[in-house]
Amino acid sequence: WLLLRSGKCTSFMVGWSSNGPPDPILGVTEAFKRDTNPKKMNLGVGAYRNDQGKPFVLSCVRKAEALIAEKQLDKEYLGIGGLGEFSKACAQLALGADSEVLKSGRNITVQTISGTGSLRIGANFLSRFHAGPRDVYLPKPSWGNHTPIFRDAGMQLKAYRYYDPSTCGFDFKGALEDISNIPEQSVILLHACAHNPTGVDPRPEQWKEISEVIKKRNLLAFFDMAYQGFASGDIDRDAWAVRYFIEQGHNVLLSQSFAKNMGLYGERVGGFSVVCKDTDEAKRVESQLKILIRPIYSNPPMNGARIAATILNTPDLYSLWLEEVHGMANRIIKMREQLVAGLKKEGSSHNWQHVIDQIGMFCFTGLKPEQVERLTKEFSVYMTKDGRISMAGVTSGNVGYLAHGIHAVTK
Amino acid sequence: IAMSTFTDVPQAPPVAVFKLTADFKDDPHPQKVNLGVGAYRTDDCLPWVLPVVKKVERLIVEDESLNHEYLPILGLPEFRSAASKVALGDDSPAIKDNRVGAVQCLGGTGALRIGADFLQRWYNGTNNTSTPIYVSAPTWENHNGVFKDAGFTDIRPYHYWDGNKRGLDLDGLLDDLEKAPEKSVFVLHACAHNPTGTDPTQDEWKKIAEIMMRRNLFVFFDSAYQGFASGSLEKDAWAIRYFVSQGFELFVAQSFSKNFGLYNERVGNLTVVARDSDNLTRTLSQMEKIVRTTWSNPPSQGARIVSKTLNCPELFAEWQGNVKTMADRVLLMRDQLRAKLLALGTPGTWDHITAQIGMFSFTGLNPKQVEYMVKERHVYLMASGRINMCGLTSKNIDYVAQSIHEAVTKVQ
Repeated sequence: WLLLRSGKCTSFMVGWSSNGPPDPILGVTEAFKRDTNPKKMNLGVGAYRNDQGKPFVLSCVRKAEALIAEKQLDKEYLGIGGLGEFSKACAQLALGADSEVLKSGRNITVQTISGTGSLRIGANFLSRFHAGPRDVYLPKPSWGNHTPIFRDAGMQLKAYRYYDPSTCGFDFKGALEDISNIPEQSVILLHACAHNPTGVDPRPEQWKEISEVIKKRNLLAFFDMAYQGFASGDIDRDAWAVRYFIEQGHNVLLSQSFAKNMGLYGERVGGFSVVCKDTDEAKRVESQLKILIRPIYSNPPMNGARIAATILNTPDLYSLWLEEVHGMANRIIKMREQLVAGLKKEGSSHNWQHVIDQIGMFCFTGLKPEQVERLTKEFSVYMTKDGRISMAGVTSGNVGYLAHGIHAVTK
Repeated sequence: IAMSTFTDVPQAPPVAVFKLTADFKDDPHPQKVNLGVGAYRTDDCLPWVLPVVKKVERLIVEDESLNHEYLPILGLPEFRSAASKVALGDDSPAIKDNRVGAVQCLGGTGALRIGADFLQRWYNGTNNTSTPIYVSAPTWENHNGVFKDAGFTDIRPYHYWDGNKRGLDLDGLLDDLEKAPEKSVFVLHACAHNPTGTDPTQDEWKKIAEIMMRRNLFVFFDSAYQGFASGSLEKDAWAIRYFVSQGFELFVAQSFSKNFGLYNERVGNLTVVARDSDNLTRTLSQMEKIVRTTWSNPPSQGARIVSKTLNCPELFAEWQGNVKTMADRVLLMRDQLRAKLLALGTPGTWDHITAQIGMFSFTGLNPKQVEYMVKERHVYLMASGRINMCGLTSKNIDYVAQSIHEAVTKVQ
């Protein structure tokens, strides 16, 4: 029955082409799953867990889903730019209801496939239309997926100093120096809040100086905001840098994700915005974004955007959401405090203040690769090689064990 | 900040089919008819959420154990395997051989794009942008966009629609296959060709396959209408299954937008049939890398609905019934439109309306006649003369038939 004529078969695998290596972040979860140690901890991928270590579906999400189910909506295609009520609310969340940009209509915001999809659309747009250099400057380090996203879009990657391993904090001096040397009109990517992977954010005064230098160098600022609300618990506070830059006259690019702050991970909810000079430019940019989007996936998925829009546009649900985001952020902050307390209790002589100073889901522990390896092998604590842990995976039930393990490999 | 970075960004033209719908929406004429964009409509001209979909959605909302966690990069495993089975058949030898895999994608478009991106990186050398990509003349316009943005520089038409005989230009097609450079990629519509509604017969498919095998051409099926075309899943997948039985390695970009009515949930599947499981594994691993920088992981809702349905015999049967309902209504409209045009004595032959299959019909109306239809009669259709049969209802079919009659008799 099966006529496989090997010589003639169009084998599309070039003989020597290899298996792609496992994705470094998602690969951690795969390894974790295979581990049979009852005390194992998954501190790899950044998805929030409650204090029982379970995924957390927000009440406001469940309520929104119930409301939506009642409406018996149809399943007609969305426009290429997605659900209008969503993209409007998405922009408003980031920029603030009183934003001059929103009033003037000089932004274009499209619904995207969560943060990744947003960054990719932005990268594709820059690749096609950005008149300046093809270089995108990332903070060192940055989310691992930033590099291949921009590269696959045809941009080139460079870096500016960001994390100072000696302090486990922000290398403000180094960052300013590097940014002031970036060739004019290059693109600089900034994490709006809760820097991934380090958890190290600039303070407002530092953001102000960064803004000045970026202005001087005439750079195009591209904000990645994946944790609005999730960092400090306050959505306005977490969006401060983005809003400040806009006030200062930067016409920014902005990627937003609702994966973490609404717990809508698998529904793929995000937005991409360009703050333009005027409405005419916004129209032109919008038309080109559609041309980019259509040959990738035609139009975005409805479900998650509908949930997010319902929450953002229904006052009761919006208030509930703010409470729940605040709750998630607070639990993380508490775990940070408990981890440091636990390390002290174990007798660690190291300075662990950075665990408390850092913000958001991730913590750059400062652990070296060999220490990480030991932590995984001997204690079944799974994390990425760079020493990054997802605080969301820490609970009051396992924080003591984690402190014990970290102390064991660092004493 | 002085000069804008985007000063030189030109205004892009709107995508034609969406512009058509936008114009239709703005039209106040009481008898307007939209025969443009490809979505199913009931006889009341309303969108139809399949009863089985409503049922499954309720099950999902009520299931407190479900959450919104990330799917794996390649998608929901139960969805991928069930979707591939639908295309290849439960008893597919290729599946038994463990050489079939899949990537859950955002609709049929997403599946085409991931396949195209993969081919650009790993097919016919590496990072080879000059492999010829053949798409039918005419084809769904986005085929060009997908392969172009994937980086391919040589996208060519293959003969397909014969305007004179209003049918398949088989000789032209076979000739193109014979002349295509080896390793060229051919995008084949598995059934219900968009926009012509004209499919090769089984014998014609066999001829196509023979040449493609002999000339080492790559088979990339676009399957957006399985079940929707004839009402039978098996019948609509015949060509795919035939090619698999002949030993081809191939891609199938599957869409569940139409046959599940899940348009806006973006449910698609790129089925990969490889020579063996080793090749399959390496291929999927590279596709994973492509997915990771495109959308990271696919949306969950639509895949859950389809997966639950396909994996439960009762629901599967119910779904087949729903699909047949849609296909039958389209077939009825085809019959009636042809009958009415014959009754009106509209010049020309109208057999192609019933010979064609699926959602679309290439009426044969020329651009001037189309313009007449739109402007004078407020019947909206694509400039190519393509109509969406789903836009026809028992209430508007007389008006549409009359409009076509006028267009053909008054406008040359």
